[in-house]
Amino acid sequence: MLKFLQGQYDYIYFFYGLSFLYLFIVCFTLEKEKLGKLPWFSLGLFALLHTFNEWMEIYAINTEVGRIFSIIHLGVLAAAYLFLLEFARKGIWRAKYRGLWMYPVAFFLILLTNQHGINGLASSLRYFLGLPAGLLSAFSIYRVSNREVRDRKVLQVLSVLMVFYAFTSGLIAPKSEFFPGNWINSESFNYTFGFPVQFLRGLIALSLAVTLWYYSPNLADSEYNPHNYRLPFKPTKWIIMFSLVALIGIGWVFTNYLDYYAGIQIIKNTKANRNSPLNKLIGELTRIEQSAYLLSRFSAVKIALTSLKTEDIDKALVLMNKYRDRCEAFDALLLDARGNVVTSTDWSLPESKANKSYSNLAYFKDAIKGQTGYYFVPGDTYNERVYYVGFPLKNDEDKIIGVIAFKKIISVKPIMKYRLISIVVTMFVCIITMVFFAVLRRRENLIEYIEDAHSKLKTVDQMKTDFISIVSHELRTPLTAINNAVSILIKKELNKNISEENKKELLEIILKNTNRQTRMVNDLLDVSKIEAGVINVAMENSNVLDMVKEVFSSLEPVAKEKEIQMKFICEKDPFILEHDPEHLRRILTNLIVNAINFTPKNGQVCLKIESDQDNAIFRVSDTGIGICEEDKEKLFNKFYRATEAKTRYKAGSGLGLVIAKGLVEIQKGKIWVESTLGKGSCFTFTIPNKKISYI
Amino acid sequence: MKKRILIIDDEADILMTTKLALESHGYEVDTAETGENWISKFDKQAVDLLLLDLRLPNKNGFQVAREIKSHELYKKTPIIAFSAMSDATSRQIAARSDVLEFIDKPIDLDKLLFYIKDIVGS
Repeated sequence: MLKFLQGQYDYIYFFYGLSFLYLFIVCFTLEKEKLGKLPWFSLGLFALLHTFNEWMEIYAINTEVGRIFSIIHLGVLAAAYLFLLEFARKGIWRAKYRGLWMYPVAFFLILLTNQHGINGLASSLRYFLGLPAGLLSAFSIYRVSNREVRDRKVLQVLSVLMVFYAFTSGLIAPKSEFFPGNWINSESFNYTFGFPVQFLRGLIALSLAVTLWYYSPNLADSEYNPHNYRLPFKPTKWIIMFSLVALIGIGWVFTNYLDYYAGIQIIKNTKANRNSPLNKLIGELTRIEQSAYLLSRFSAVKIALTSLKTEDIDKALVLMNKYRDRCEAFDALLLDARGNVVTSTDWSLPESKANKSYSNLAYFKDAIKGQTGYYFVPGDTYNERVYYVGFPLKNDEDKIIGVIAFKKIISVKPIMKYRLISIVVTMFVCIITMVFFAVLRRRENLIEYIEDAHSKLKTVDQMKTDFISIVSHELRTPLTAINNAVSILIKKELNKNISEENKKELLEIILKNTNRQTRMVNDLLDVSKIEAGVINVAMENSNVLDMVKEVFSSLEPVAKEKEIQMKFICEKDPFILEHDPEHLRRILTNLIVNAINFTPKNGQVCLKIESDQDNAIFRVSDTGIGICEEDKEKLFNKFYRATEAKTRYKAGSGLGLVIAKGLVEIQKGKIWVESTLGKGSCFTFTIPNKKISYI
Repeated sequence: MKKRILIIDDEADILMTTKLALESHGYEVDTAETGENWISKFDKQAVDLLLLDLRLPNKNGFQVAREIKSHELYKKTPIIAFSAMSDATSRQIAARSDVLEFIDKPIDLDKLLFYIKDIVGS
């Protein structure tokens, strides 16, 4: 099904690297709020280094690379995995220096297995760094997903993908000479599934990028529509994702078209020049096929296959050695119909060859059907470029009884110039597109951020203006009354007709308004003290009921004037509580006064005191006008007055609830409001009762 | 005949003291705590001058002033507005609603009496 991928190693490496580049860019364009939850920057750096790693491989496929290149390649991979491990470490421990022991552990485990050369090192790096880092990252993402509500699914998908990545990248390593690298490796994967593992990893990386992309909110889809800037189009997630995948596809078609076109040109040139490297390569391959064909004609080989006697096999081996040397192959193999090795000219590793089954190999599968089978290992940083040919062996009745196979190590690595050029062009187009989108998104994020900050500032500014006008009103109103009264009393032309009773009344007005002004000034001072956090608390463990009753009776006349019924319920008497009596008095006064103010005639105001396990709970409920949802959130904000209160009711500075909240919180309590518009409100506050909680 | 002045203010103390001061100068003073029923006060007896607080519950001073100014019979009634919120916006809105004078609270009674004398005569 995926056979078309076989000749496309370079493009697969390109696609794989590009997917990780997407992941890198997505990681770096997540906005602040999401960035805080997991160390996405580390994942981004891992992805970036991985991109470099894969793109180096494109170079290794096309050219002969030395040891230094291999070491650098390995170093980049190691650095990438270290960043993945860092991502996992920071995600799990959420601290700067905890979990650092993982690094030396991984280092020693890698050292232990590195006696197998650069191939072995590449494998053990994957086993001991890539695999655990991937799995731990998946775990840390999963853990964060449990705390999330909105993005839970996205994060869960992300962690599952991470597990897949850990297994495909960490377990399916380059071929090596120790367990499990000799058993599970990228070559055996390709034999079994018919496509290179790099393609699967690339798909997973792309899925990671797309999923993470979904983690960030889609600004273009949101209602946010500022009128002061315009984009040529709205870059929705779908458009961006589709265009990038389309670019990869177009690049693939383009690359292969160029390859095909270049192939025709090369064949033309080859005819003219017998000594060209490609001509040489074709010559070598033709000689292998010839040798395989000739070998399959010898009856000695067929007898060896059917009899399986040692002397017959030795006779066949002589012939095989002869023809192997003739075509300068590395190895000649004789396989029976089930794919088991009967004999091999390469006895450098006899144990590993004997009884080894090659039934999975692509060239064997083709040969056993009667065709000439081929298999080509493109060669990368760690592996040589190998060409396998399988040729069917038929007996006299024309039945296929086995396969003769040649393994040829090809020294020539023809640089596929056109493919490379096409891939590099595609690479640049994709990167530029992605960066363009990333910049667009950053810009949108920034604009949204500014708009948001602007509207917040505007609200605060409006609240300040409101506050100043309220304060000035509240300070000037009593002053006006006092001023008027004093003027009348002092100035002869104003008080000539005034009775003694009137004079007394004027003096009372002066006193009343002086008190009112004092209260206002005190409120202002308290708010500023609460804000600055310099308010004093004097906690004492005593009965609260005396004080509460006092407050209640002092406010009863006010309520009576408005014909409001006052009710007081307490679950027990005495009610012992650790509290600050002065603060509690203020809180209750403020809440009850509010309740009276906002309750129409014939209403009811009720104070209820109860306690649960840890807290004393005070409830002040009324049958007043209620508070709408919008106001509820802001009610305890500085300067805020509910819309109804602003228009319909005169008294109030907008400070009562701020002070109440500040004083409740200073006693480690909580305050909140429940309300139905038109039916009434209930303000509840708690004060923790330490005595009870100790028991 | 005594000149009749209507004062609308939601603060009872201010109403009472201003009333006393104006009465001692020989004006007939009527008071109201809200602006909602201004028309009934006007219908009862002719009003020569209205002293109007701008910050009133339910229907604020600006609305009352606008209603009076658009009323057939009473649109020529002079209005003196006063407010404790003496910000520029209030003054501008007051000017736009054809308010004759704008006085800041606390009220300077001498100044107020001077304006009243100027507008309706003693």
